[in-house]
Amino acid sequence: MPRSVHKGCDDFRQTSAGVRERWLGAPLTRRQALAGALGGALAIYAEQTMPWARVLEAAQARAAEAPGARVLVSVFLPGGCDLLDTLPPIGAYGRYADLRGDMKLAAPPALGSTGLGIHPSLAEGAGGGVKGLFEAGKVGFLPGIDYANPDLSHFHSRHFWETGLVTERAAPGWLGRWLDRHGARDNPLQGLTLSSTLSPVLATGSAPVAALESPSDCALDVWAIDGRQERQMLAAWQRMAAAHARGEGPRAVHTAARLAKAVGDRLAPYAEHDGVDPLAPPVPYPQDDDLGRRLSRVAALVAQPLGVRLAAVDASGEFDTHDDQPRELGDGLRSVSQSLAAFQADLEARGVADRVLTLVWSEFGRRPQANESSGTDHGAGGIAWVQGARAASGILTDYPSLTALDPDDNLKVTVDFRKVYCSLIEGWLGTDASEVIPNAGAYGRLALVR
Amino acid sequence: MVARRTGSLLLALLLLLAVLTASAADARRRPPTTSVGVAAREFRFSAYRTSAPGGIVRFNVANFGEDGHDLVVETAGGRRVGRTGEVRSGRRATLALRLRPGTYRLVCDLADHAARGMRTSFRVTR
Amino acid sequence: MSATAARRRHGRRRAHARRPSGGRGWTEAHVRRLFWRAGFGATPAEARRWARRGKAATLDHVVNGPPGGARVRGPAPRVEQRPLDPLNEWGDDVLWWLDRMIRSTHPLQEKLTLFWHDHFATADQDTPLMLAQNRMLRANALGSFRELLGAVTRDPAMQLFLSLADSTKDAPNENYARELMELFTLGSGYSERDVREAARALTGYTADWHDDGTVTIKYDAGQHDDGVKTLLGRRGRLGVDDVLDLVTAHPNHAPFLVGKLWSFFVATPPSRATLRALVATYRGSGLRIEPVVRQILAHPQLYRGLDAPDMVKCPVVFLAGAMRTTGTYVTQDYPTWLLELMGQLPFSPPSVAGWDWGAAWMSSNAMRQRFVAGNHVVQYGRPRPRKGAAPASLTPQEAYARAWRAVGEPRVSAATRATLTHLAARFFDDIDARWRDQADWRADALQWTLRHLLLTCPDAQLH
Repeated sequence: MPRSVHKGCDDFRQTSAGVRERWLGAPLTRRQALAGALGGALAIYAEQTMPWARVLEAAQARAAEAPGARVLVSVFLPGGCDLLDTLPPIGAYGRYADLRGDMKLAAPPALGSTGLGIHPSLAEGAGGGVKGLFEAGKVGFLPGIDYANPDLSHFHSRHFWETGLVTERAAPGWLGRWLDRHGARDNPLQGLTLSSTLSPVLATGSAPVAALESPSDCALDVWAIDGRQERQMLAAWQRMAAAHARGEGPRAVHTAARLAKAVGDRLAPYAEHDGVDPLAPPVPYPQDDDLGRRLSRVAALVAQPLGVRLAAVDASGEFDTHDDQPRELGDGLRSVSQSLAAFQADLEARGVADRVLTLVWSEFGRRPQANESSGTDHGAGGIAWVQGARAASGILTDYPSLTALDPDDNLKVTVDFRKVYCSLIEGWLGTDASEVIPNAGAYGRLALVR
Repeated sequence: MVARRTGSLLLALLLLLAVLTASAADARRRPPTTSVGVAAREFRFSAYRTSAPGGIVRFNVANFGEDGHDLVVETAGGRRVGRTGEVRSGRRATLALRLRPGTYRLVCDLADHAARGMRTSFRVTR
Repeated sequence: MSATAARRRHGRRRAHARRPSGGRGWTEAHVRRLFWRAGFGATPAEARRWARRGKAATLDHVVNGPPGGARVRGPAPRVEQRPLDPLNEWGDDVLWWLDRMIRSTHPLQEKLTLFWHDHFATADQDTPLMLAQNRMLRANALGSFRELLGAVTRDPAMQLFLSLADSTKDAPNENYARELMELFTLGSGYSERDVREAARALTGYTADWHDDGTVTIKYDAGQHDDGVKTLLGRRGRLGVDDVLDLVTAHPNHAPFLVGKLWSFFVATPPSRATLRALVATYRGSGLRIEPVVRQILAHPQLYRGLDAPDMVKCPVVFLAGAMRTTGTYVTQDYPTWLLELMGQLPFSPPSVAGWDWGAAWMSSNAMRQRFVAGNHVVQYGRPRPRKGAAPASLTPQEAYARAWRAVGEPRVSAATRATLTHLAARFFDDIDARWRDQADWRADALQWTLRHLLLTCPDAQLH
């Protein structure tokens, strides 16, 4: 629950708010809606006195730097998503039904001729949800994904996936390391976490990244002032930030001060104002769904010339389905399906679908044998998928056997997640995976991109 | 050792205010509010206060465990007076109840968690 | 005091700031540097007083604390009128500690408690255990490292965090043994075998959970591996205290620990001679922390660049310092969630390795949160302009000086002072004619803005 920085309304605040209101009512600072600006059906709001032409100019200049740069979006399903119910093996339905007993999916819809079914919740959403995207050739599933000797602690396994390193040591995220190597020195928006706290996947060693719930959260705002005084204040801030600084600490401070203002400035046109959301999506997203709302912002910001290269979003559902899995997994996957289907449609409507690839992942799978509470416990061999107009489609890895389990009665791992990371780095981001993933040569590669 | 990422204070506030039926006299008086920190993990509850005076009792539940847990408050007779709903690993939730003097039980009603130890008693005094 | 008098006083004080007043080059700037590095900043009164008293007396005061031990002074912390309940209300534990940093008469003790909390980083344990650990760290903050290490090793929160509790002879857990050597005492100079052998020697603690959810850590000799081990070249039926004695006697220990203490107080690395001298002090004192810290705080390198500080304030020091030096107390819960957003929530370090310090504190996000914090300190604290208190007739210099005094007379670079004075001069240049007569509001808004910027500008991030 992000708190408003404006929560403390008392007399001074109210006095100035009254003044603010009169100011905002004056023609001086009335904001103007500019429809149909860059990136398709988007309205940019800019203040008259901070010419929108300059905003667009700067934006275009930036876009020219990296036209059509590819974007990778990480969507994390927290808790350990169950493979067997997400993609039930219709070809081995009897064995599946034995393992899952009463909680089994009765008649899951088939996933083409793959011999697999799909959770009915994943057929919900625009155009048939994730199932529809699969049928349209825009989803490639990766069943059996994990790593050797899986650690069934959420915290450990999540950390491994986040860092791309199977070690308990602290380290930057795997996407953060990519930015350290290939990112810009001056653009935090290149690595965007849609949350008030940075996604560990995007934690960097040196490259600037940004975490935000919404562009409305980014301004450097002094409570007592607005309008022209605010611009005077920001100009003073800019001067102080630009001052020459010697030494690592002072340089870091001044850089952060400049970048904080740059992020605020760059996103100011996209902040909600007077109840109007300039990033309002051109397609409907599910109502009251955090994942959908965050993905809609990713789509909108990616479509702007802001230099977004990587984005990280957490799903809002519950995938740690120890009990009542039918309901919990159903709810979680419904949100995922509706949100991702809307996201894909949004990217297409904005004309940027060709340059966005999404990786959906979870920290581990679940045990094939159901437990006593209509749930499943932590297990191995999970599920991930890639999604996008350029994603390889189909079932891209071997589905684990339901009869030949590992010594702990878990599914056998059929693909190491680092193979997927290496394949994305090389196949999508176009750089050498060994710069980011140690021993990258050992994992082989998958064709994840068309 | 990787630190467990405790759920953000900002993200985690799920406030369930369930006020029990109370007499008209009670309603007119503003009852005292007592907060009770409760940690949940496999498979036990630790309540940082084991009793509170009658009035509003706010249970601030932090799930330090790996699994989801919920906190159900029952009377000694087994009548359920409130629950947080499932609190995910690393998250927090608050349950505020108006409680009359008596003995209550705090239990987790997910799966067999109560049987495995997630039950403790709580006293409300005059 | 009239505005002109204020300006005179301000001007005089600035002129005096670098003049030795306690003898041998000890100035208010030195006091401020010391008070920031060793604590949470100096109030103007402290800077004046201790500049007069001289370096030796100031160091004694900072290191020893007041006679009779540390106290807190000033109003007790509250959250919107409610007293704190650190055990039961989320975030009140953080506010409780922050309040001590703001009000303690012995800030170095709190600063070192923060150092040890980072050094022996522990997280995700029950609040009563975390608060007990905090008390333990405070009690040992300046004492014997060996005793501190013994207390940490037996500390329930630590034992549970690093799985030393219930590490038994049949199933020794290496977690604590590894961090003991890697992070707590040595850094390097031991082998995997040493880790395994230390883990065996450290077995025997069991966690005894009671029905009410409380826990006691016990030592059960029956669970201890009493076989012969070889650790760091010593062979024998080693037990817990043998392990702690051996790691602290290891040649790498003293340089490791004094080096880390140095880097907590000084941004540039010590010379080899300085490190040797600190190691000698540490060993000569029988591994006591206080003499080492005293020597670091007295070192000329700590006072270099008084006009251009080079250490980034960590979020806790930034916020506690802004509050302490402006006379602002805990009256709201904003510190807890702001500290989390700034990246340093006490009692929740990101891993056993603690936080990343120095330049790593600075990101555009963290900087924005520090900017947001400025709003709260001004709004809820002493710096808040009283309505109509600033005359509309102040010159830009007077307006700046008034704001500077209201936020505790912080060190400000000449460039920042010029920028803010310029801002004061131009602030309402392009104000719409219709609002020109709102003189009181304008003076208040200017004061608010200047105070906010003084608390959050790049200068304010460094000490």
